[in-house]
Amino acid sequence: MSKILIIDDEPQIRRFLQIGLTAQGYVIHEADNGRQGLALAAETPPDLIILDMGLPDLDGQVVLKKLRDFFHAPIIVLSVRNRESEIVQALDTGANDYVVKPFGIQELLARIRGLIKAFGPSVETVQKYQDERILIELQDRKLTVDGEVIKLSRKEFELLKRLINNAGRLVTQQQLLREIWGGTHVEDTHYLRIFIARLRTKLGDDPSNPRYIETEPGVGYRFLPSVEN
Amino acid sequence: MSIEQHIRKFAYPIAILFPWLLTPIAFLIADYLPDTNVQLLYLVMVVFISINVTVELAIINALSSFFAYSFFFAEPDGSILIHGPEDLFTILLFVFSSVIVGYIATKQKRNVQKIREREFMTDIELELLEELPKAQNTEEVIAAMRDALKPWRENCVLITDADNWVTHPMIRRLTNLRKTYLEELLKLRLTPEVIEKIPALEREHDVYFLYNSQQVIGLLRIATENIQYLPKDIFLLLLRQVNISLERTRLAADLEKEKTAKENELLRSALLSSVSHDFRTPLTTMIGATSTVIEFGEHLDKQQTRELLDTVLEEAQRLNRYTQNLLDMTRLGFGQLQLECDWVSVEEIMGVVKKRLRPLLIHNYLKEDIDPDLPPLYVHAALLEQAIFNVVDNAIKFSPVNESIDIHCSKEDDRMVITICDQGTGIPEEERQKVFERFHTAEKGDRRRSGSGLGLTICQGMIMAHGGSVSIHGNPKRLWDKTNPGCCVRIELPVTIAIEQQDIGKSEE
Repeated sequence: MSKILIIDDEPQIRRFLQIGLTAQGYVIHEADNGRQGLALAAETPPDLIILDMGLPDLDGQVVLKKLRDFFHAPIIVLSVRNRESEIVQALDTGANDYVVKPFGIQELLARIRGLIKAFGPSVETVQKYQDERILIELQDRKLTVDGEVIKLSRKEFELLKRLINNAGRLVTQQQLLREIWGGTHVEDTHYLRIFIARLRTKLGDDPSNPRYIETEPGVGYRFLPSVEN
Repeated sequence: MSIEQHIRKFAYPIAILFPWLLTPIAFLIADYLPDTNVQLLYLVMVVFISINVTVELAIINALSSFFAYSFFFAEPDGSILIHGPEDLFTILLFVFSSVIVGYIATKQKRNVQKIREREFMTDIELELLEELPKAQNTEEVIAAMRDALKPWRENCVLITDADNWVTHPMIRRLTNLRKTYLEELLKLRLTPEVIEKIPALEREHDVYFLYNSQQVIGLLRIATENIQYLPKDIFLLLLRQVNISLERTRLAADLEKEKTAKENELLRSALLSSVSHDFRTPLTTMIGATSTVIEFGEHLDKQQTRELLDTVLEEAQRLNRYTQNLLDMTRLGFGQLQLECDWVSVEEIMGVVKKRLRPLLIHNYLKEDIDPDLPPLYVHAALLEQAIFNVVDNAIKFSPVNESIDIHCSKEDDRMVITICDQGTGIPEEERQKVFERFHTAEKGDRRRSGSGLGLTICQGMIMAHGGSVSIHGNPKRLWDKTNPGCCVRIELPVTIAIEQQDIGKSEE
């Protein structure tokens, strides 16, 4: 079963996470400060880390950076609301997703499932996405919506590929811009906005009721995994 | 002014040379005039010089004329010697009369100048008297004073605290004040006794004080020696007006301070009562429900336990919203709100708002109507999201069960308009402005679902930070209904022109 390391100084939060996650079959390790968390992560590498950004001994960003020196599995950070800059920085430093405090267990579980699946052994082999409406074949660069083949431009396709390869995970605007448009365009979020809008139109997706691509305003985008998960 | 300055510059050569240059002309005219009248020519010149320059120069000019006349006209010609006693007498009379005429002319000229200066000064004073009542604070009074002093710009220094006055070299040099003494003087807390001493201090240091009843605001030094004539009485009157204005603005500022202090006090008490009420209500429910589950867990069936836990969750989420509101309010209040704008579509914002609203939409539902092809907004998404969330949250509170909340987004001219309408009891016209006030709640006492009274205030603050506006209207679809006329909150946001499409086109391949 997947091992999860929780690094948080609040015993109540650790307690409820421990109960909730154990009930789902995860094995839980706990650390109540940054140093202990780093040591535990090095000793017995978990499959996922939940990291609180406000720790008593070390700054969350520092812990994150140190973790990323040796730890390559997914990391979810816990942050407070209205701190988009902190979240963006954490995602840039190597966090894979975030949850805003206070949060419900379902929300956290959805993130954990998405990440563990995405980091599972089949990451590289995602070549196809299919549901009752659409079929995306990445190898053939083909999108079929309601049986009709729809043409995608090169950039639209690159964008869709990255989102699908990270299904269920948040991909930051900066990451997408850097990988698709190049390092000089990381500030040009309007490119992304327009291409996402085009993709949505082609997928028949409604941004105010997203079925495929969800926006985290100011942070990034997430391809929603199929409902059966 | 400039012609006079030029004359002054060459005054001595002119005074000495002119009579000699005049002589050839005098020769030409002399044939047509009786002998003695030639002198009148010289006299005209002396008068001219004494009017325009000074009496001293007029005397020099007169003496020079005397020699020129005696050399060319008086016997013997070609020599400054004078033979005839009548000639000598004429010439002496000439010098004497030219001195008197010169003196009178100069005096007259000075009088005219004085009158002009006074008129000038009075004009300045009138202008200043017009400006001073408009001044709202000390800085504006000083600015008006500076403006009035412009004509003497080169000869006066006015410094205030804003000019780092203690170290200001000009004032120290001009007043010969030691630095420490100056510092003491400027930091001095004024009392009626000290104010009484100010005229003496002013005379001693040849400097004027600008002050209100509490402190010295500025020092003014006028280099009077470089100014021809300064009507001192008018000038002092003018200073007095400035000091009165300084006192007036101080009193106004004090009053304002007192008012803010009072408002802050009101806010604090409202905040306290809000915290005690709005935070305690959900806490009471939570403590009650959880202790029930703990104590009687085994006697409750699954359904009952679930119900109690649902209430705890619901109340906790409510508490969370209050906390968010209070935090937002404090940030808005302290002006610490920093906009981090980015391009985002209304649909995307609505998507996030709806996700957050889901747990609240138990008895009501949303009806959305977003116009197609709306331009993107350049906004701080989290703030706009919070603003819309607060309005809908509020609408839910006042909506009857099973009624809809209608959201409509459209573009009108260069503004994005988001209207959120409910089918509730509505807000009477005279109350509509009040709902934006802090801690205003429609529900009094311990009624269910009361809010913190901050939601709409925050909404307004956040929308205004984006250059938009929020207003309340009746629901036009329910004009027929008198008991539940409904209410619409209209949010208007400016639409910034988006980046050109061709720019994107280039980036395509």
